[in-house]
Amino acid sequence: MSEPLALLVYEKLLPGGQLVNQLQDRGYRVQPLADPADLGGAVQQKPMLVFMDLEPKTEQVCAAIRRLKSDPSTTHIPVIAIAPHTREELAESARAAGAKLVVFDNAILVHLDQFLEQALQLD
Amino acid sequence: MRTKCAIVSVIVCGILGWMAPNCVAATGSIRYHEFRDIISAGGISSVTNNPKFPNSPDRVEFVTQFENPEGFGNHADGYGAQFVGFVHPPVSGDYRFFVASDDQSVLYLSTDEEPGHKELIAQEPQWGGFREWTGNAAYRRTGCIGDLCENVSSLVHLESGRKYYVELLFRESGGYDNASVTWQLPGDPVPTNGSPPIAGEYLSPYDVPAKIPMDEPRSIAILAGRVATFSVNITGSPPLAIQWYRDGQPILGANRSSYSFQTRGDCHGGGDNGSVFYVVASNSLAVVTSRIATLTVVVDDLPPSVVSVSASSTFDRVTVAFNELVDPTSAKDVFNYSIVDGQQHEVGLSIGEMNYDGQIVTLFLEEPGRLEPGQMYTITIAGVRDICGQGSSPETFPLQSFVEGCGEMIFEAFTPRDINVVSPPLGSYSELFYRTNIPGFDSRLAFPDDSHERYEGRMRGVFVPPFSGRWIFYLRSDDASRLWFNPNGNDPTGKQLVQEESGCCQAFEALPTQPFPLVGGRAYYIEALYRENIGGDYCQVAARLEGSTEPLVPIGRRDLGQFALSGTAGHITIVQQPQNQMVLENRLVTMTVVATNDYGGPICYQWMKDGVEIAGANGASYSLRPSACDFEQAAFSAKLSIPGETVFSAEGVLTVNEDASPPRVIGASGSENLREIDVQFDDTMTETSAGDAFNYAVTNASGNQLEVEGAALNADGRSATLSTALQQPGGLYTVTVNGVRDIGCRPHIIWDGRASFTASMLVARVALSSNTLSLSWNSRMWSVYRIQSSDHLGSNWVNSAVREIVALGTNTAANFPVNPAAPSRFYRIQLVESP
Repeated sequence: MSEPLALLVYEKLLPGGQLVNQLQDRGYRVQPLADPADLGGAVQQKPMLVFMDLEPKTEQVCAAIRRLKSDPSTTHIPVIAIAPHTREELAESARAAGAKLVVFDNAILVHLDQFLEQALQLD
Repeated sequence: MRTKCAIVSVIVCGILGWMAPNCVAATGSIRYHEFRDIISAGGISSVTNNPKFPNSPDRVEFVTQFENPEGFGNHADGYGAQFVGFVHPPVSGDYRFFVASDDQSVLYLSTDEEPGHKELIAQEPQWGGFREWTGNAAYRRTGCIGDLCENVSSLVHLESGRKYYVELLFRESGGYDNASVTWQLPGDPVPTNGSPPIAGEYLSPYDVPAKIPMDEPRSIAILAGRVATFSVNITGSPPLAIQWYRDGQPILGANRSSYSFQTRGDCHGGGDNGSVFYVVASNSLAVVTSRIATLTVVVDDLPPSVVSVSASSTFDRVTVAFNELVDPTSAKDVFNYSIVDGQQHEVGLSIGEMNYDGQIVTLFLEEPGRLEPGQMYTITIAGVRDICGQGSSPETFPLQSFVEGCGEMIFEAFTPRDINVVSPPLGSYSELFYRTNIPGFDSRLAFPDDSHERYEGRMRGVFVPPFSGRWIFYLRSDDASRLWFNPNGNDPTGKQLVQEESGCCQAFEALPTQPFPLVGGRAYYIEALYRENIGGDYCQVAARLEGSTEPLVPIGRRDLGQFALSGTAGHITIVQQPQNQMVLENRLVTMTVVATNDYGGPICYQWMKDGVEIAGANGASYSLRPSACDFEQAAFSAKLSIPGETVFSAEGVLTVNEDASPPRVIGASGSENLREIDVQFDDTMTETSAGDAFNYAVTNASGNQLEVEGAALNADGRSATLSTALQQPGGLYTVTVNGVRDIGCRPHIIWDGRASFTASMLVARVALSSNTLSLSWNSRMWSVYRIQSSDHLGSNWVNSAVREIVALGTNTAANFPVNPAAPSRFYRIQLVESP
């Protein structure tokens, strides 16, 4: 189990989805989470980063982001929030909750490398 | 479905492990960003100077070929557009790009996929027809070689499987509008006009999610009252929205990549101390939040310090520059300053004024006080406080008054080395064909009109500010130009590109540089380069202090070094002094001085005779024809100057000896028109005597007189032209001269000077067109006897069908009709001496 872990809070996720495939191609171990409430327990596995889909449970996802970022033991974990490209207001909600990088669903696969690099940079 | 990739490259990343292949597939379109409400004046810069450019376009499209969305037509006026994307070459080889637009456009291509590596490769200078790839049907393109004008790139080598960033900037003023780009693939012929632009299958849009470097913005520690600036290098396309936040709240109007403000507080560390700032950048692909930067406001317990004190080119003021904003009341108080000369005599001050920047004070001398050129003074400053109330202790500084020198710069003009290269980049012309010094930053001083075409002009020298302050330069040119400046001093290697005209002919106000803090009297290297294709050509640079509303005019002699600090632009060494010379009066003599300037700038010369300046004698040498009446002996010397230095040469004594020998007639010659005689003398003659026709007599071989109708001394002073009655062709004539005198101090007169000559022979000229035989000859004494024709040269002559002719004896030209339908024929014309 030496591969880095990526958590995917992604209710719409289907097995074999492109995002999972591409992360696995890049050497990640991917663990999907259907319920944002499960994130608190999953982060105990020390994930490298977390992807969080803002639809459909926007409020729960933003609350989970807020908890993650307010806890000193998890605030360092990078979060990439995913918003529908037709709903910019969700991106603002995620940003206000503490997500430093919000990407739109039409860009996540095409520009995944840049997003990974950007999210994993250390301040 | 995973995207197919033309090539595969693998990048190792320490955190991520193996990255995905670098996909370079074309995706069928390119971005088109349209900006409306573009000002009508100016070229492409009217688009790039628009506040909405590049991040706030009024319209975004993904066009499926490299052409404006609507193609040809009159769609709108007063707008600009930017196409951004990648071209994907299908094969490796040399490509040529073509742009056609109405109105102007510039086409950039990168050497790879990075926008930062883009280079200008082609441009539409005014407007072209829809898909008019080649030729110049509208006469709006210049620099054409055959059908390839500057809208066509040079050959560019591209590799298949890679993608190259491409960008087209386009501007529409009024009327029809179109913008298209095509290419010529390796091995293909030049595209015909009207052929389609680059298709979408070779294009992909420039889509880059918003990104902010992880270590930006940086935290700042700053003294209270100073201007704090946070900045980030944001990248991304499509267009970005930017918002700065302070302590978690958005800052109204802070929507650019940097945010500056004057730190608030009581100058004791309160106010803004501890505030945090971050910026959010977003586009349609991502929203990214920067790191948080902290502002630390440091307690200001430091008094202001003096950065520089400087005299002025007007000798009536002194400027003092401080390192921070100063309290205007104490800074303008002239009792806080004292200036004394070398003998400790105080120089009176009348008033102080704050400059626009709040850090420089100008002190005016009490009238009629004036600093003496080249003298050293001492200025003492005490009691000037900063805006936090910290005051300075008394300090003294040396103050050097300016010296008068030379205010000129070098102008050079170049032609291209290879005329077959289409649209080479600015700066590539290398064949020097003209060089001179000019007393202003204005190419019109070298080329005063538009008669020169297809060249590059370069002007270089030093800018010497007449006063300390923050100076802004302004550029205008026809055609494109660039301006370089070294804000640190006179070293040419330290020059920086500070402004650029990509098109043509904008007003000075359209192309300002940033302000540069400069010290009065110091020399700063400055250089401009411009390209002239055809038509109007000029390049001018103006300068004025930040905040000034003075009219903008080209920098003149004063600010090119006529007044400057001593030694600011090198020193003069005289290698050869003017020599003593002895000369016969009225003979040409040249005085010369040879000098070098170790800085390499131009040297100004002013020759003097016995200490008095000679008007117009401004070269390294001075030539004259002295008369013994003017002087027998005089001392000639030269004043040589550069910015900040003037030196005087030694004196060369010129001794003029009187010409004791009388002048002689040394020859005469006739002219083809048989009406003029040129008489040559061995000395310089007076205009009055040589121009008097009564001083000449002309006789033929029989002793008969030929009337002399007029006489005039020629410009060389050593020959005269006589106009006479008609001379006999081939006749022998003798000219006798009496009473013509030379210009010596005590003139000598020619008596019975003689010269003979043979008049010109009969000269006839013939021109034959399809139906006319035109004939002219040089003597009215001759007329046409007859014209004969033959189909063989030398035999079978028959009188011309036009009839036998005996022209009147008064003409020297005649036209005769010939049969245009006749086969090739030879003509023989016989002239006869009139009775």
